[in-house]
Amino acid sequence: MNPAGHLALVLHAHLPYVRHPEQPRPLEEHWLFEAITGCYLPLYRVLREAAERGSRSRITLSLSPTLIAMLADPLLGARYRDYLGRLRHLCEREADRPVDEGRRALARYYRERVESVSALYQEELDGDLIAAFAGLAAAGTLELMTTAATHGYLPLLRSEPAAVRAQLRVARDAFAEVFGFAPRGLWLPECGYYPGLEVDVLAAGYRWVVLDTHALEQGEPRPRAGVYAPSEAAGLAVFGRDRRSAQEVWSRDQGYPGHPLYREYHRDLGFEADAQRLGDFLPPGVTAAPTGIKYHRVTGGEGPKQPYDALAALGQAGRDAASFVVRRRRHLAELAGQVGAPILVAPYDAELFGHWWYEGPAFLAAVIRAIDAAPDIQAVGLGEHLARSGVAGELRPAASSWGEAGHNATWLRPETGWACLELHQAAAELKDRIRRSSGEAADPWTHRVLRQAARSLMLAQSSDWTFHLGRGGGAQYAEARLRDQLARFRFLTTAVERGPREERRVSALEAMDNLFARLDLKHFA
Amino acid sequence: MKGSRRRAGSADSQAAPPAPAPPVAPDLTPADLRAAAEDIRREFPLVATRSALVLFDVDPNQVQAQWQITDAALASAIGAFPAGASQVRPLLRLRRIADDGSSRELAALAQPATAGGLDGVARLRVAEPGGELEAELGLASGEGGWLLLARSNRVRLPLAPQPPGLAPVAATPAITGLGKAAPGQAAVASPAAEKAVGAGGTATGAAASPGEGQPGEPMPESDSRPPSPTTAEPADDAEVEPALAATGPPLAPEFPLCWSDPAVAGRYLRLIAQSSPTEAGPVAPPLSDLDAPWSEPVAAPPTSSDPGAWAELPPPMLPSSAAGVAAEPRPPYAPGAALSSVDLHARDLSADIEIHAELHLWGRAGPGSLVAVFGRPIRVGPDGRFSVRLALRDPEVLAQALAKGEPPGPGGE
Repeated sequence: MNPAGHLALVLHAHLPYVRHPEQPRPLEEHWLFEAITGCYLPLYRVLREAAERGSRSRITLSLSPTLIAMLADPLLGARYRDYLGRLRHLCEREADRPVDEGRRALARYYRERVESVSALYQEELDGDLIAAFAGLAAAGTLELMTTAATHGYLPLLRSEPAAVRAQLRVARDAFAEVFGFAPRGLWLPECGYYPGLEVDVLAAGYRWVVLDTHALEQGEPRPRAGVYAPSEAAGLAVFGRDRRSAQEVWSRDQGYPGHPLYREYHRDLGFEADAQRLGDFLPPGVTAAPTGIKYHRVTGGEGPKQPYDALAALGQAGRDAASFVVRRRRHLAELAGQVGAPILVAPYDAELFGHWWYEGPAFLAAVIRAIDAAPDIQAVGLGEHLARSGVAGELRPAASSWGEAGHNATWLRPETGWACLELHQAAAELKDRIRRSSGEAADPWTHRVLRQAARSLMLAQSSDWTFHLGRGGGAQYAEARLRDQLARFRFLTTAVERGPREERRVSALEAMDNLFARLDLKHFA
Repeated sequence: MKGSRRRAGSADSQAAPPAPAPPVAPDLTPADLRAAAEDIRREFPLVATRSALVLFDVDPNQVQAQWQITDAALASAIGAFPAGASQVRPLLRLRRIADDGSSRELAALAQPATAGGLDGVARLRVAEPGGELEAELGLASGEGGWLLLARSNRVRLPLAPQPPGLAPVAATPAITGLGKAAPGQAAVASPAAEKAVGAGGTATGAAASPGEGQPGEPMPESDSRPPSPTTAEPADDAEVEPALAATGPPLAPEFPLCWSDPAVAGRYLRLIAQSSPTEAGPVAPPLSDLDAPWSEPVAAPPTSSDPGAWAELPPPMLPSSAAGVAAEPRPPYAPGAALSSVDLHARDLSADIEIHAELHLWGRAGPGSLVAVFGRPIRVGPDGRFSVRLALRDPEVLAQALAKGEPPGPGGE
C-alpha cells in the first residue's frame, strides 16, 4: 500500500562554538556536555534501535559546522569524559544520601543512566559521535544536512554579500571534509530567508532549504499546494514548515513538553544543593549550574512540584507520540485529493529532544514505531521526498524567519544594532584585504593571518550572540564572546602588517579558535 | 548496488586550497592562551575605524539604521562648511528608490550634534511596504547646505504584510545557559535558584543559568512563554491507545539510555510505589477536543515494504547516491566512520575516483522471527517479509566493481 503522504521530521542540531582551551574547566563547555548526554547520545540510540529493527523511517538531521567541530575535537572529547566521571560521582553521592527512598531510587536511576551514557560514548562509539551519525546515514536511517558555518543569521549579514557566501561555502566545505560528501540540504539559521538568497545557496551547491510557513503562504504566486509540497525558487527547492505539527510541540498552551507528568526542566540539583553536596562537579568558583539531575515533574497548577515518576512520564510520551502520528495521518488524509504527494515538514531544534524535553527521545522513538506501524504515512528525508515527488511549481518566497513576528526582530533590536554594524564593517574589511592580497606574490604569513581573521569573524557572526544580547541569561557571555571575536579580528588585521613578530599571539588564536582547518579565503572575497 | 564516480577539479568544484591545518602550538600553555586573549581584548577595543551606515529591515514595516562616523571624518566634514554656516547638525534621511532610479525622501531625522565621532541607531516605520530603501547620513546647515557622511546599503522591504494570526514560535536557544524557558515549561522561580553564586567560573565571568536569569538573580518570566504552561492539556490520548498498542513492546525498555535491564525498571517502579505514599498522581487535565477519534484501524507493524516497492524507490540520499555526492571528492571521515565508501585515490587507477555503495536485501521468513544479516538482527514482519539497507564497505568488492567499468573520459562522469 502506498502511503497517503510523507512526514519529514527534521532535527536541527546546533551549538555555538564554546571551546575554551585557555580555561581548565570552563562552564560554557558544559552546554556541549549536557547536550551530548541528554540529547545527542539518546537520539543516536533511538535511531540506531530503529535501524536495527528494520524501520523504514528516515529522519533528517542538520548538524551545524560548529557542533561538528566540537564533537570531533579531541580536547573536548577528553573533557567530556572527565565531565561524565564527575557526574557519575555526583550521582553516586546522591544515591547514598539518607533521604526518602523515592528520591534515592531516582538518584540510582540517574547513576545507571550516566553509566549507560558512558558505556555508549566511550566503549561502543569510542568517543566518535560523528562517525556514529555517519553510520546511521549510511544505513539509511538518517539524512544529513548542515547549516551556515557558524549559524550566522543571513538576513542581517546580507548588507555585505561576501559574508553570506562565506557562511554557505565554508559550511559546505567543512561538512564535506568530515563526512566525505557535500551536503545537499541547507538548514537556514533560524529559517531566515530574504529574496535573492536562493541564488547564493544554489551557487554553493545546496539543493533545498526549509522555510517558515509564511514564506510560502505569502510567496508569489501563492503555491496551490501550500506548504504541503516543496516549491522551486529559482532552482532551489523550498520546503515549508507545517504549522500544526510545530504548534503541537512548541505551543505555550498545549505543547507536549508541558504535560504535568513530564520532568520539570527548571528544577535542577545544581540550583538546590550546596557546594558540599555538589562536590567537585562544578568548576572552581561556580556554585550553581545545571547538573541534569532533576527530581520533579512539571506537576501543573500553582502548588509545589511533585516528584518525578519516569515510568509515568514514559507512558505519557508514548501516548503523545501516538496522538502526534494520528494527527499527522489525519492531516494527510485531509490533503488527499488536494495535493498529489503531500508532505508535512516538522522541523525542531534537536536539543529540544532530551535536553529541554527530557522524554523527547522516548517520544521520537514511539513516533517512529507508530509511523512504521501505520500503512498510510511514511517518515522520509527531505531529499528523499524531493527525489520521489519533485517540486510543485515556481515560487518567490516571502522574507521570513521562525523568530517572533516572523522576521528579523528577534536578532535586530536597538541593543543589537551595534553588533550588526560591526559585523558588516569587519566583513567588508576582510573582503577588501583579501582582494588586495590576492594580487600580490604568495605571502604565507598574510594568507595564514587572514584565514584566522576569517575564523574570528565567522565566530562573531553566530546568531546565538545577537539573540542573547540584552536578554538576561546568557547575555553576558554572548556579548563577551562577540566582543572577543571582533577584537581578535582587529588584532589579526593589524598582524598582517606587523608580521611574524606576532607569531605567538596568532598561534594562540589558532589554538583557541581551531575550527575550519581548510578554510578557503576565496569564499570571503 | 549503486555507485557514483566523480572527477577531481570539475567545474563545480570549490576545493579548498591545500593549506595545512593551523599549526599546533605545543609550546603554548593554557596560561599563555589566556594571556594572549586578555592582551588582545585590552588592546583592540571596539572603536570606529571606518565610517559606515547600514540599513536593515526589521520587518515589512520597519527599518533600522545603524551608523558610526569616525572622529576624523566628522571633523573633516564640519571643516568643509563655510565659516559662517549656522546650525550644522547631523541628519539621517531615508529615501525610497524607484525602479527608474529616482528617489523620494520618506523621513529626515535630526541627530544630536556631537563633539567627537558620531554613532547611533534609529528605527523608522515605513507606512507603505515594499520597494527599495536607502539611508543617508550627512551634515545639514541652517542655510540649506548638505554634506554626505555616509550612504547605506539598499534594502528591499518585503511586500507581504505581517502574517495574520501567526502564533510566533519563538527562537529557542539550543542549550542551557543560553537559556529561555523550556518549550511548554515556564522558568519557574525556584527559591534555590536565587542563591548567591560565586564570582563566575570562567574567563568571561558567565555562569550557566536555569532559565532567563543569571544564577543569583530571580528568574524573570519568559516573554514568550506561558505564565502557567503547566496547565498544558495532553493530547487526545484515549482514542489513540490502539495506535500505541500497535507499536509493539512496552516503551520503557525503549527509553534511551534507561533500564537496558528490565529488572532495573521494575525495581524502580516498586521503590517509587513504596516510598511515595503522598504522591497522589497526576490530575488528568480535560481531554482536548482537537481530534475526533481515528476510525481506521492501525495495521500491525510490518518491518518491511513490499519487495517490489524497493525498485521504485529513488536512490537514498547517502554518500552512495548520485544525487547526494559532492561536487568535488573529499576524503571520507576516517576514524571509525561507517561510511559506505572507500577512497581509491591511492590505487593505481587511471582516474582520481572514489566509489560508494550500499546493499539492499529483502526476503521472507517466519513472521516475527529474527534473521541475522551480517550479524545484525533483523526482525521479520508479521507479513513474513524483511528488508534492510547496509553499507558496503569491502574495498575489494568496490575496487572490482570499479575496475569493470570504463574509466571516465575528460569532462565525463
